[in-house]
Amino acid sequence: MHISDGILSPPILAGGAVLAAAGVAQGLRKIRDDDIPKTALLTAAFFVTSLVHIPAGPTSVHLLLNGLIGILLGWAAFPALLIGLLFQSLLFGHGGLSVLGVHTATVGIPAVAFGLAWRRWAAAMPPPKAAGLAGLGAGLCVALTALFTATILVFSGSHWLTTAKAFLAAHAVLMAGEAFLTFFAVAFLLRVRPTLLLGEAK
Amino acid sequence: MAGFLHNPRLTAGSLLVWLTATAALAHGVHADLLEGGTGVRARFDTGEPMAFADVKVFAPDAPNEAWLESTTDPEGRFVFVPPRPGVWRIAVDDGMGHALFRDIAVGADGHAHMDDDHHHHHHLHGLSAAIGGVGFILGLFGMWALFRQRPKKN
Repeated sequence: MHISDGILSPPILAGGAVLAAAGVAQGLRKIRDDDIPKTALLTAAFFVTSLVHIPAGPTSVHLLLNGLIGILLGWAAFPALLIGLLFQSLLFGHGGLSVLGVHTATVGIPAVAFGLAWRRWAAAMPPPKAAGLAGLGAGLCVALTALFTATILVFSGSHWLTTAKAFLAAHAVLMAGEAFLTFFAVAFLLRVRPTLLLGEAK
Repeated sequence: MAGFLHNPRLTAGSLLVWLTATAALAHGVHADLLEGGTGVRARFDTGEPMAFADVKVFAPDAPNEAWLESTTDPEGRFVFVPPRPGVWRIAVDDGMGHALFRDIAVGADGHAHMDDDHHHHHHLHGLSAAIGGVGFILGLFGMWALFRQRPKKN
């Protein structure tokens, strides 16, 4: 999800910035000292994964990891994604700086919404089922982010049909990939360090 | 359909359309070889072409309405022939959240000029940028953790 400066209209940029700022503020309020190393590692992972391209149809997509980040970080996903996206923009030139708020919102809102819901539901589930739910949710997070991005581009004059077609073709692959990755990551963590996932579910 | 036939104005109109279309069909068609042209090659950072991406061209005097809509070829290229001088804007959008636009200044002599892509020249490349970024991020969080914990210890 990397849109350059100058493509989106000012109201959309402003709306994204407001949503992102609200999310980041809430994330900074909620984060505990013990969460900081985890947040740092996931921010770094998110930053690097945008370099891993998966060929899909005529173009390629890159891993997003927002489902996994939402599950592991909850509200803290907002500051993590903002920092990751900021460095992607500064160091790789992926996406413009003015679009930072919009990107944080489109990637972060599905992540946090699903992450918080998952923590609530997973606590009462057997681990394999919880991991399966995590995988499904991660796929859904990718779909929602793509859908938000497509909608925003449509408001900025992109063709809905072309966008939707490309969205279906390329993101189906990414959704499946992220679902698998998140499933295995969560299954592994539930077995090895469940507190990392469910510790702060209260 | 019967109503349509009984409406004299519509019938006359469609007759006219039919006649014009037939007249157009009667025209021969031919093509001249066109060389040069102005355009862009759109790539992702990896060097991979933005193949079959949506392209919009905006004319110098009408920046809000697309003057031409097209797509890039399999190599991510798009070329057109600007009919008049001025700053032409080309927007390329892969429909998946990757979009860019570039301004091409076309002179009165038809010569085109595009500013260098600042976004790419000033950036570190691949591995060094990735390692540097990870370092920055971990360092940033480390400092933050340090500042947060300091008051508690005292």
